[in-house]
Amino acid sequence: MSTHHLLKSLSAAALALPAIASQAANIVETPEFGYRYNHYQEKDIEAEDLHKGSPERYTVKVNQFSLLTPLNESLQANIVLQLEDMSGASPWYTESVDGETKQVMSGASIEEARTDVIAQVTYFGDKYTVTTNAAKSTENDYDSLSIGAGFTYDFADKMTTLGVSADASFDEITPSDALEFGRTDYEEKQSWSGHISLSRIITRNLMVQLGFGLFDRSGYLSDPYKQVIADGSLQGDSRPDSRLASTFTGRLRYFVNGLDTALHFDYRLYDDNWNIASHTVFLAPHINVGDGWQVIPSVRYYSQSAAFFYENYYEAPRSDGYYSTDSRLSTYGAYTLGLAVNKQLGSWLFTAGYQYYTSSHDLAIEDPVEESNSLVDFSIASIGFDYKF
Amino acid sequence: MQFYQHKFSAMGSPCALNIYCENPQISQKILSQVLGELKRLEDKYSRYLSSSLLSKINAAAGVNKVDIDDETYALLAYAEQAYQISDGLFDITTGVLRHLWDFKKQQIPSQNNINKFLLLIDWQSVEWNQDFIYLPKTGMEIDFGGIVKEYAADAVAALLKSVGVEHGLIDLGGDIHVLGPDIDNKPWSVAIRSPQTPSKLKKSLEYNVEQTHPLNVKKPQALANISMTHGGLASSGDYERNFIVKGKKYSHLLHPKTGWPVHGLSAVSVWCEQCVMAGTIATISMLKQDEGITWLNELGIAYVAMDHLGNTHQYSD
Repeated sequence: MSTHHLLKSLSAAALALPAIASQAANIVETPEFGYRYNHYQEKDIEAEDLHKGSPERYTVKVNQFSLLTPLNESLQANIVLQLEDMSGASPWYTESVDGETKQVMSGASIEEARTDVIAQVTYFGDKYTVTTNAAKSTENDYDSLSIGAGFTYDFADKMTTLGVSADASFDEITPSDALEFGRTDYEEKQSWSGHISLSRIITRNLMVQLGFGLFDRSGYLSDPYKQVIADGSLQGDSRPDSRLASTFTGRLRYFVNGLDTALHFDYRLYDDNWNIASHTVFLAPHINVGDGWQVIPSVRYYSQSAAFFYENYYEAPRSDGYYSTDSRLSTYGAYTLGLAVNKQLGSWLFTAGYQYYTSSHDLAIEDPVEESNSLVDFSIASIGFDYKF
Repeated sequence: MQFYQHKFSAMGSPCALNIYCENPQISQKILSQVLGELKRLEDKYSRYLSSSLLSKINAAAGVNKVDIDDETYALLAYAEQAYQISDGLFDITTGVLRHLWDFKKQQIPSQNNINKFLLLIDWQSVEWNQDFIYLPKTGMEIDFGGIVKEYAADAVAALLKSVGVEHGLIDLGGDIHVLGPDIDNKPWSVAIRSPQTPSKLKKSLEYNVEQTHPLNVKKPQALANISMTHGGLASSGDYERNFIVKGKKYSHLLHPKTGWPVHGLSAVSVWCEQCVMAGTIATISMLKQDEGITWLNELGIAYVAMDHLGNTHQYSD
């Protein structure tokens, strides 16, 4: 163990002492500014799956600025501004060509910009924190406003923390070129969610968190830019107007003394009333290699079952009138491999990372009834820094 | 805002609480809370009180498990960390040697006896978890010397902070925690006594800000003057308690592997965020003997030390 980590491990043990723990509130002491640049790149659609349109899929460039600052002894504010530029094409509808289902893509003309602003204020009490947040997201065809509140409570033993949070969001959808493409010209969507979690320090090296969440979405839940050939005609993507989901999460943090590594292991079970159930397993050792360097390889596995109304191509009309060929509603599995490197240098933290995501029905736990031919593979390259004033 | 200083005795040491607050009534109220917290920790962890939890743990050595609370567990976890980072030098089962090395009688024990006692020093054989502790051999002892008084200084600082004190300094026999700068936003100046200064001049550390400051006392020769606005400072040294036989000085600090007093540094003071950490680092550097200075330099922690030749070593960031 390097001398730097000797100090860090001793300091961590000191901070766990009850009288010191109560003094060391989590409030930041000085303002902290952060910047991240993410380059998200989807892989082109396979030529054999493409019927018409551009093979090129989305490229998204994201610039993110964040400021975390104390307002007084017990109040902390966090503001995040995110600017996204999106270009490329997306799956539009599927068509049967000589008995084979092929994908029709939109033209490569889509150019979108999105601005997200998130503001959060946290109050640090003796044994509890209260957080309120508001977020606004603006696109030329989409406006979203959300508000939320959270509460955490530390039990007297300082080993157990209860967290409760809730938020609600109100979205307005005004699809572009509505008249030209026969799209809806105005829709609304409301969502709310509630989450409860319990964290406990089991041993000095092991922390476990269990959580339960409920999500409710209602209103227009379809994709205005997707269409479906059904019942002999091209019609709009049409999904149920309410979706209720629940999640169970388990998180485990295990510190391996000899390796100076914190092992992060997360599992999530998701289930909704569209019949989609999914499992997510995430594993990432945070390896401290000394001299302020940290290396974080990660692997994430995901598998879901299809929505009850999903088909890649509708041979027959549905009596309920729900149609969608969106690959995200199909049965598939995916894994993500990632590597991030952090370097602490005085008041600066530099970070760089790369993730590769690949999805396929073969990776799903269950055998798909209906295989999508527009599942996506993508990569995310990110770079950024944090600076403490 | 007025400056108030209260001198009192706690945990076997001369102590002083220095705070700025509105009026004498508030200052008295704060003092009684501080004394209450110190008494709580002393009643729980003193090895001199047979009713303390620590005494109960030691009395049950080789007999049965003793239930512990979360605070004690956290202290044991801290001691374990200190053991790990010191390669076993900081061992809270070392205190048993004190029965052998009687600093009042000033006698050197026989090697035979020392060897017998060394068998009782083995932190790793102690069974403990969140609920209990068990010392496996009869006669084994643990003590939180080098941890609890320092932790108490941090606990008092936390208490002062919770009652709204923004400018203060608690001194528990040289274990110091500074809470915010002086009222004029100037750092507190903590004078560290040189081990060569005759101890009857001034027993403990002194601190002052400016010549005009109420804390200003006529200083003996200082090893260093440290400016502090926050955090803890702790010292260790062979000048505190020792005896000299045939011209050789025997320090009260005993080595867990040899059973003999350590010989290397005369004095070391360390300062960082917490007093408890400063105390542990200072103690470990004493136990490292001739390698103490190198180790401190590698850690990159702020310290001032004097080796047994009288050379001063210092590092601060």
